[in-house]
Amino acid sequence: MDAMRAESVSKSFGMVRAVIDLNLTVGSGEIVGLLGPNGSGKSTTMKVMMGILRPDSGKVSVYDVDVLKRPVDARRMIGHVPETPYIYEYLTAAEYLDFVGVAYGIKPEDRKQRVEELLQALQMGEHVNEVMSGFSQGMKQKVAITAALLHRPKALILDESLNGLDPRSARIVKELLHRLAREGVAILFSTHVLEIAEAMCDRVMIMNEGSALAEGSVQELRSLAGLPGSSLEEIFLKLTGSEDTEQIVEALRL
Amino acid sequence: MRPSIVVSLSSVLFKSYLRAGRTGNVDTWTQPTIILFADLLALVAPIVLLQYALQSIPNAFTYILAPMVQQVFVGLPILLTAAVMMAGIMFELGQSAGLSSSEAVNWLPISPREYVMASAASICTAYSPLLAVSVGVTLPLALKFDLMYAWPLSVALSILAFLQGALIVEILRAGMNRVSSTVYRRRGRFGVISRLALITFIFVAIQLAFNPYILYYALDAIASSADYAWFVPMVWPSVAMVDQIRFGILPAALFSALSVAFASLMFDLASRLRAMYWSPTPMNIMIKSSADYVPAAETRSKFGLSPLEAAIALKELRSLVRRKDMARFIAVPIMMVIPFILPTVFSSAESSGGSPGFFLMAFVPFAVTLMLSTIAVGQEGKAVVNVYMLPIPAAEFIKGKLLLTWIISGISTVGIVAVSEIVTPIGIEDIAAVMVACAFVILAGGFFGLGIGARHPDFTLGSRSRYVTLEGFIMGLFIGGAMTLAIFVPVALHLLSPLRFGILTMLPITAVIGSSLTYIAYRYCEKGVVDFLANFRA
Repeated sequence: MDAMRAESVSKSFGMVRAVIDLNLTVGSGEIVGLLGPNGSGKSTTMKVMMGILRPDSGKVSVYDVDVLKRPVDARRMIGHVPETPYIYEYLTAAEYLDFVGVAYGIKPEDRKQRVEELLQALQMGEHVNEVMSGFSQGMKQKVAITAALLHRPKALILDESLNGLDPRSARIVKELLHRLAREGVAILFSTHVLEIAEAMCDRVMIMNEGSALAEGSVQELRSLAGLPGSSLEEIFLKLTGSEDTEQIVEALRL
Repeated sequence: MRPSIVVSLSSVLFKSYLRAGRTGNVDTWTQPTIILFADLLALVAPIVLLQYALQSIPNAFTYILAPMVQQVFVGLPILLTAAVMMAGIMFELGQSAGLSSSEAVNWLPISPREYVMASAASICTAYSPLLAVSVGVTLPLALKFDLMYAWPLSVALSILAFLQGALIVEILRAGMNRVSSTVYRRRGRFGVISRLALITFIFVAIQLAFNPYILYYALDAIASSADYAWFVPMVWPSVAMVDQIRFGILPAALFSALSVAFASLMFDLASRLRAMYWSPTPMNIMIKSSADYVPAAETRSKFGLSPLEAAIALKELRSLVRRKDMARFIAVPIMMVIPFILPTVFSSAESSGGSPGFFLMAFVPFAVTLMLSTIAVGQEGKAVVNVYMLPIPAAEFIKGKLLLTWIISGISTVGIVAVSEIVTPIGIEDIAAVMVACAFVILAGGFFGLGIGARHPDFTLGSRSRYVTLEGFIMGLFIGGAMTLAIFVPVALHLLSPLRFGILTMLPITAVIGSSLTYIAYRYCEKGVVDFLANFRA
């Protein structure tokens, strides 16, 4: 069963075509990586999947719930970590997670257990009653990840969610995502760190200038690019037409 | 100190003042040269107007007016210091705390003295039209009242006083984050409340400081007491002016020199403080002493509010009381009332009549509701993404967002109605009628304001954040004003018209107009919020 599905989705901002006729599916228990250079349309795709950006055309559904018609119902099933963790910095972590918990309708006793588990795992337990304006980028990211996982979502949309995390926390999050996938959670995941994508994703979609260039497992992409035995980085650079990096560095003459 | 660095940095800081909160292309209005035109206008306009106006004063009156003109010359330096200080503090308070720690100068090779001088210069440049006006006002006065011998010193001391004010702002800026953070960390909730009270007090003090009634009394007091307050350094420029006007060249020179020395001392102090607290680091602020998570928000409905509505309202309250840049919105209702109350205080109750009180009773619910509801969406800033991510239905968003607006507007309205009833009594029956009209204004105005805020949000956080676009603000002001007028007209016809239309006829008309406008405003708000929640815009 497709947990998340985008069919022929297009989205433009004025003259800029951010996403062009995109088809994307994420199955239940599957981790799909969305890769692409800056401005390739990954974040826009994720926002459309969340129902927070209305596409110009196409259909989006999460567990058969039409995201465009019933965005609130769709969001109840989704956990999202945005690219930059914009949280309410004037709240304490506890107050923020309370707010998120109420929005998802989580009972106080469940909330307490869940928050304590997640924050302890991410080494944030001591900071729960601190106002978040003093938090580092990584600490804010940990709170955002906790908020996204608080309601045991059936689908996760993670936009560069490992940014700013210390190695231990990044490892914990990666293992947690694998476990959630084994439990049937559908995960759409974007990253610029290709090693992470290679290690984590069942399937990868490479985007460039709003379109899907290629899609499949890393092995399938190697065949597609005609680069057997190569790394995902080499495949990515070849497919996105940016393999001439050495010449660029040479030209800088630093 | 490297002058080129000071000039360059001062230009950068001034541009950031000028362009704060603006996005898009740089146009003529956001170029530093615009200040030169503003200065020129501020200098020439009073010269032309006063030159023309003073010609029409008969000579007999010149003798009567001469002491008042001397008061202006004496009081001007200290008023300019106060003006630039207040303006600088207002700017600082409007800036979100996060910005100051990310200033690029924190890691560029710039010395504290260079920074302080550049920053003070940029403050002086930003408010230089004030100085230009004072020069433009004093020149024709000096010509008319034979004070040209004192005018050059007046200009010089005004510039010095202006710089003094800017340096004091620098001292406050360096100290403010440190003190604020320390209080915040040590005292938890008490720190939050005391900071809010302090900021509100500053805003109200600023409003009082620039009220014409207060200014008049202050000018009089300064001029008459400058002689006796010679030991207060901030008064030295005024003391020098008193001596100069009395042809006391030596004491005038002495106090002028002392003023320069005091400004140098301020510069040194500001530089030392800047060196000590160079890069304000964000503090970890504990609201509770324990590190335990205790769920506070309920998941059961209470007082007719769903848990989500209550959670949104609580979040709004925390935003209002904890954010430095939001504190001014608490002070605004108080600041709005002062200009209306003061004339009543300074004049007799009989002469003020019932109209100002009635106007105030209509104005406060309109203005407070509109202000708080239109900013409700934009003040979320970039964190508005949370509203999109979470499953928040439009109806609960509206109620949660407006609850605090309605409560604050309600309290402000009841307060002003009570004050008006004490100052200019209109009777319990009429007060009840006014309260009905106010309730409709608050209800309809809240829906309408949130509708505007959802359609025209400005998510830019920083200096002089507006939280609503200029277009939205103007629309809100005019349409909201028209709605208030429509709701209040029947009550006004009863209270103010010589025909005294009966309350039993007028009140139902108010109820019909109010209900209709509330319904229309709700639909407008609902559509705006639904569209807003479906299209991420931050």
